Amino acid sequence: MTSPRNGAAGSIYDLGYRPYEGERLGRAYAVWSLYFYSLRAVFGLGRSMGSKVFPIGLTVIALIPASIQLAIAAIAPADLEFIKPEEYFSFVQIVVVLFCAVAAPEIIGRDQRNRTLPLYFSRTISRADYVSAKLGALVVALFCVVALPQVVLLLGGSVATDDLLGDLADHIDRMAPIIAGSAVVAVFMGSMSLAIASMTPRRAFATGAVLAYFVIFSILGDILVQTTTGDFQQFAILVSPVSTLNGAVYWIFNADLPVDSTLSKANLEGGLYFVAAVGYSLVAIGVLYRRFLRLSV
Amino acid sequence: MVVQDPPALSVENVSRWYGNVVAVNDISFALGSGITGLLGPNGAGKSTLLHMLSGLLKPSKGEARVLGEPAWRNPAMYRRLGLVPEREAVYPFLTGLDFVRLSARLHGLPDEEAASMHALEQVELTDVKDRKTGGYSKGMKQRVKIAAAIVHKPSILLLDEPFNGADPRQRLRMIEMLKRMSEAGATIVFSSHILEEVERLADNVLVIVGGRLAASGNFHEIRRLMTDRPHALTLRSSDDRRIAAALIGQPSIFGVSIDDGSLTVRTSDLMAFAEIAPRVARDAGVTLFELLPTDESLESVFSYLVRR
Amino acid sequence: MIGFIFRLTLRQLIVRRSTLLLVGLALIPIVLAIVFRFGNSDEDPERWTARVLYLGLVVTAVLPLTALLLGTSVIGDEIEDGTAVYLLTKPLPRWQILAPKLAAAWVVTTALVLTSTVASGLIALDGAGGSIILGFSVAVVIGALAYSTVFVLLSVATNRALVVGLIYVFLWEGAITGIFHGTRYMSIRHYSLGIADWIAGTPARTFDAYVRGETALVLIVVVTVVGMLLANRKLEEVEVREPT
Repeated sequence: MTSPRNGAAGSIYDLGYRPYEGERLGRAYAVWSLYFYSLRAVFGLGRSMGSKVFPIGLTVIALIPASIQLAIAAIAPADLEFIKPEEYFSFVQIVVVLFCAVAAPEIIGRDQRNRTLPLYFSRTISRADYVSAKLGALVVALFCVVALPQVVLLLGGSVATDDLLGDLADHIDRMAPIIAGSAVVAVFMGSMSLAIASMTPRRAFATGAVLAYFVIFSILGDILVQTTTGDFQQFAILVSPVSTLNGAVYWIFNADLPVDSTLSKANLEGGLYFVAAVGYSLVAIGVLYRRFLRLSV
Repeated sequence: MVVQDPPALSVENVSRWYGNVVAVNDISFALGSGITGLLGPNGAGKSTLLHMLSGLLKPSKGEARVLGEPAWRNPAMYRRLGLVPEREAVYPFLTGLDFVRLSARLHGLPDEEAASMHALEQVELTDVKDRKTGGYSKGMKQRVKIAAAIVHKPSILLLDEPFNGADPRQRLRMIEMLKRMSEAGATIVFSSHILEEVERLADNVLVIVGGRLAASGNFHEIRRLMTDRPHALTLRSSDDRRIAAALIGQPSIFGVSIDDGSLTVRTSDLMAFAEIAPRVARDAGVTLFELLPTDESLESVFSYLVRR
Repeated sequence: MIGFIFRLTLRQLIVRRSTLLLVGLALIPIVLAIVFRFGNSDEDPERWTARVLYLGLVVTAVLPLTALLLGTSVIGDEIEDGTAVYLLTKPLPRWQILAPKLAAAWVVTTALVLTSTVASGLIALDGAGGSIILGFSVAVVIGALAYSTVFVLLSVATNRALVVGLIYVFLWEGAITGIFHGTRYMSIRHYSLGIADWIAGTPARTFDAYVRGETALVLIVVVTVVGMLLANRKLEEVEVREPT
């Protein structure tokens, strides 16, 4: 605030603003950065304690069945398999659903809520890049959450025996299905929950919507399988996201379905679960891209 | 300001805190009819104070009173009080007229239609009354909020940042309307961080800084009371240098400076200077042409108080 | 005045996009009933309707979710976006604001869920089995009132009402009452089931209501009345905070 001087003319002083002339790292780096920071945001890193509680807590809970199995293996001499590898996902599926319900609104809702999307879209990264980075972050996060306990179980089981390398060599063929199964789960749940969460900026709504989708459609799918017969019954199971994923995982592990479960009742050809999972993911990804490409900010 | 008994609005040692943050810190004042401006930077506690006065917030300590009765948990007082909140939100699916009629209806007015039309006329929204408020501009939303707040002809009107988003012409009309209301005996309090508006509209100013009442009263009076800060005046005379040399010898003068052909004098005591200036000029043989206080504006008062 | 606020709230609810979603939700049981009826399932219709359709879907998911979404929005939305000020700064006792809003939430919830219940029941049972439909209809109506009250109370008491409500529905009534059976005495879902069981007089084999008939009714009335009183008290003391 300058005091007014009679008859004084105004001046503008050069306080040293200079345009930036240095190196610019380009679009790829920008996309990578967005991905990396979104990934960190999923686990609440770089934020307050409150936002770490849920994701890290749920990851820990996902490890519990593996820990129990390892504890038993360490104590009991025999090769007891309490949790079969192909079953692991069905044990922790509720945890993964909760993880998605909390994480998806966190990374896709914040920018809409705070109206910072124009800041992103007016930079070198394209709208498609934005979606890809966010999707990549959630999928990678989910992959870690789902794969980690299984890998721990695999390695830990071998460590618990007397012959580490030998046991590992015997069981190493499980590694590929673990990776593949976790990848399918991660892509499916990541894309579906992001697609749903992107519909509304309000966090509580988005969380509720993701939860409601998984819970209601799972109930629905199961009811339909129990209630119908024939061809319809077979395909009805695909209504349930959880059962679809379970089926795909079992198929990847080439394992037998548990007796008297909804999956065995549906009696659908294994590979179709995988196809359906991929199909759902593609549709969700398509919806996600379309939404952001057409969004007016 | 004429303060009635009981005062239209009063707060007594009122404080409000949220956990560790003290938003309003031990403020007391009493207001009567006329226009009072609540001035202060953002986050100073003006909104909090208005919310306590309008019964929407409970003071953590002390009491806010409207017409002698506590404002908190007292819905009946809204017969005499109207509030124009800051936030833009209105019911977007209602037309302007419906929105004001809603207010009239909830006040239990016998003739909603007439009262609503009258209120809309006062804010000059009659030509868009049948448009949904969702399609109003920011300034129109502001005005329809005011219409809804005055439909029951309250004797007390509280406005939270009312000039946000109003263009200069609308602002002028609003100022005219508020002045009319205050001349009719209403007690009007409005908050603002825009000094120019407060200067133009308010008879009485309450300066709130950091939750505390930093100053109150007529702003010229406040300025006069700040004796430890030098007043600055601009002098035009027949011989600036000569009178400057003569003035610097006086005890009440802090300093003189000459730039761009005019002389600036800084003095701690305006009254004393007014007495000695003609005498000094005559003794030095200099003719005084013009004496102008340069920092009487609310702006300088305000920035001084904020820095304190 | 009360009627006026009631009608205004109804208008606000019906206009919203999320109410459309709830219509979709209410249609799911009807679709399922059609599938059941025209499929060749060998399940006993009464057993299926009571256990799978009503217990498994309507009372477990459709009713609480509908009540949650509507209940948290009737007052909660206005507090959140600031329009609550227009209702609160009027010379009205707060119960005159609470009652019509709660009524509106209840009425819309009931309209959706009751229609769904009756229609799906009629379809699945092919016009027979009236007592089951009646029992669950009454349960749904009373349950809707209890749920709406609780969720309205939540939305006045906290600004995280939706999340808390979701945790209550999915975690408490879903998982915890499933594992720790004693907690069923504190679950609206189980009160509703108890009332349905009592009125429908279904034999124990069809489904097993943990909380018995009269107890369920008493508990649900207590929860509703206490909820209303608390909500009124909270609304009288609700504070409006603004960003600056």
